[in-house]
Amino acid sequence: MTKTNLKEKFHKPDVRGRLAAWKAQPAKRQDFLRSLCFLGPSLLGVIIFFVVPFLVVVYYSVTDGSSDANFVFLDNFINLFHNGAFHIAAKNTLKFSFTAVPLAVILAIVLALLLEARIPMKSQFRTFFLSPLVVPVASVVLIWQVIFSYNGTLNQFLAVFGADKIDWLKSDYCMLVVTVLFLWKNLGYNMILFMSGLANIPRELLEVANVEGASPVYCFFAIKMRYLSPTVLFVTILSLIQSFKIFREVYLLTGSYPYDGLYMLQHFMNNTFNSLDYQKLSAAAVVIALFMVALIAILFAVEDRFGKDVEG
Amino acid sequence: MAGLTLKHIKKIYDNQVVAVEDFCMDIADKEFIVLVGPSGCGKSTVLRMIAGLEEITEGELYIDGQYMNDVEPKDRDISMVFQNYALFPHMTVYDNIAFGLKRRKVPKNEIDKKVREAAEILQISELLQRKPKALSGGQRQRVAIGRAIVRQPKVYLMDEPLSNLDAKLRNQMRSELKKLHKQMNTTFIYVTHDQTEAMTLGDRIVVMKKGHIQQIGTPHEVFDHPRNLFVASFIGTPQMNFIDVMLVLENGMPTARIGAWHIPLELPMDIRLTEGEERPAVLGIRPEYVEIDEPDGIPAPVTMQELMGSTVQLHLALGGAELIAMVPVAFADTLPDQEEFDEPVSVRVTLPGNHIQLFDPESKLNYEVIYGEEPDTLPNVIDDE
Repeated sequence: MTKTNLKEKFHKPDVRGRLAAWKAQPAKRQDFLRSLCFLGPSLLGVIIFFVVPFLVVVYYSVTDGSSDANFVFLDNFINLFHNGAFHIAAKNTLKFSFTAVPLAVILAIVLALLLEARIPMKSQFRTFFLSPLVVPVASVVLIWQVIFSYNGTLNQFLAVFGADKIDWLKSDYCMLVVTVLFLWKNLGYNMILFMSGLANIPRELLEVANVEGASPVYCFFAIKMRYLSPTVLFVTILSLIQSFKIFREVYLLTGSYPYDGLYMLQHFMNNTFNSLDYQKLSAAAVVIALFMVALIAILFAVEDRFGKDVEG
Repeated sequence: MAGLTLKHIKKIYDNQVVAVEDFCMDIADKEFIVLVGPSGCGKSTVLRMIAGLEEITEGELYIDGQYMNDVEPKDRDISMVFQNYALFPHMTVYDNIAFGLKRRKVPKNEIDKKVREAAEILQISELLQRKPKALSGGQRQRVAIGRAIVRQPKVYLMDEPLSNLDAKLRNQMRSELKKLHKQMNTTFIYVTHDQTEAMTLGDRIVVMKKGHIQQIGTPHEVFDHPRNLFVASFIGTPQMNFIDVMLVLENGMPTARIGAWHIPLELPMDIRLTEGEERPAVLGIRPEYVEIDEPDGIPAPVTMQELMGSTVQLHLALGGAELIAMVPVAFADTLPDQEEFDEPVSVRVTLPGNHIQLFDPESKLNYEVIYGEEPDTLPNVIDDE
């Protein structure tokens, strides 16, 4: 192969030439500048408040102190993975996310399908499931405390049937309580998203399936779910993010150091922050961020495969 | 292969809109029925009720003698073609066509044979492995028709299947549908808003308006003997001419008076006109039947000429009314160029009595219906717009 051939084969984009071409097209350049003007403010905000702080966090996670920092590579991460509190927090958060998020998605689909069918009092049900959205968390938590505390309503009610008192938030049931709280808060919104997804399925396709003899189960899995897949992706990511934020409710219910079963990653980070251990905090933040990015990438890949043909 | 009977079918939607009122009809086996009417006339609703996609509010539906009101769509042995094709975007053409057979658990080799046969008939054999996205509108509609014919159901239902195609393709598909009907040799029920499609395809045409049947008849009956003013105006392009006339008896012969002109009418029936009576009526005549330049014609100035291709539409002023006449291009060329004269060019117009339709302005009904021998079974709904 001659030299020129090689050059052609591994042809690098001619940056200078392209720039010149770009400059020669004033309309395109103006377009770009104009869009930059519109994008500018939010781009600036994202850079200042998210990108730069995250880079600082990454920097902290590979050094050994805020002043006189030495590069320690993965030491902070190794320490983190040996930390018992991190273990508990990670385990609890994963356990919570991997039960609460699928439940929030599946139950919301079921509700949306139910409300799509011809049932009486449809709009009342819809309002009922949406109302938790507008209730402030703090006041909800208060009610939750009244219900689930040791001398609370639920125990009193169960006592009628002769059951023993359970300290709901300080027992193995705690995760259940928090999951119910999470579902109560998030189901309505997810349901609305699925309802709009269902409304977007071309009606004729379902009618053809009906005429051609497809069973309702087939219609659901082969047609409806396929068209809902972008919504499933969106709702899953949304619920995942919400599930990581369950800390807020747990914190309001039980404070900084709850029962072991409720100690979430954000508890860990909050407490590490309070003890000014930036290295551990930063390492934890980087780990969580990477985990989330990986998870969402997988979700996108799956959705892309499943919903490829129905979009556009 | 099956006949259908629709008895007093009525549809009221949840929002209390009455979509179809008292639809009665017998459809014979192997008949090609076209439901036609302006949008919102209830034609699609009738089709969807036959398919089982809409509940029948009142009335009875029989397919092949069996009561079908409460039977699931899949058990009615029908298939349906939709306006927007309704192909499954994630399936190949093959799988789309095979869909109904697969759902009915037909053996694989049989499915394969039938799908290939259907593809052969519709000339889409080379497209079987493609997905709908990679097809043109015409090809998509062929696939949708393929899915409908592969199962060989008793009745084919088609809801404006050609409306999304361009004019040229529509003409081509129209003749192919006609052929397909012969080939399949079974009952077709076809919905369209296009009266040309209705005229060319249907063995019988059902003209509907606002949920009511206006007329059921062969294309010839509907064209030449429209039951009322609506059918007369809806069927045929260009539209039938309507002229307000006064009917009087002159020398014992019914005569239509248009301004100063008197047109003696040869009517096949007795319209019970008495001496001295002046009865207002609407005279209808199709542009293709208007005769020009007969020696005893009425002079009418030409107000406009429209070239339609092989024919020219002459717009004429006739005693205050406008009349359109269709004439051959060769004739129009003999007319002097209008711009060269201050006076408008006049032609002599004759309205041949045997092609004249008379309508009652009150009931809008054709005189043939009011005074004819055959009894009229349809309810008359007068509706002024």
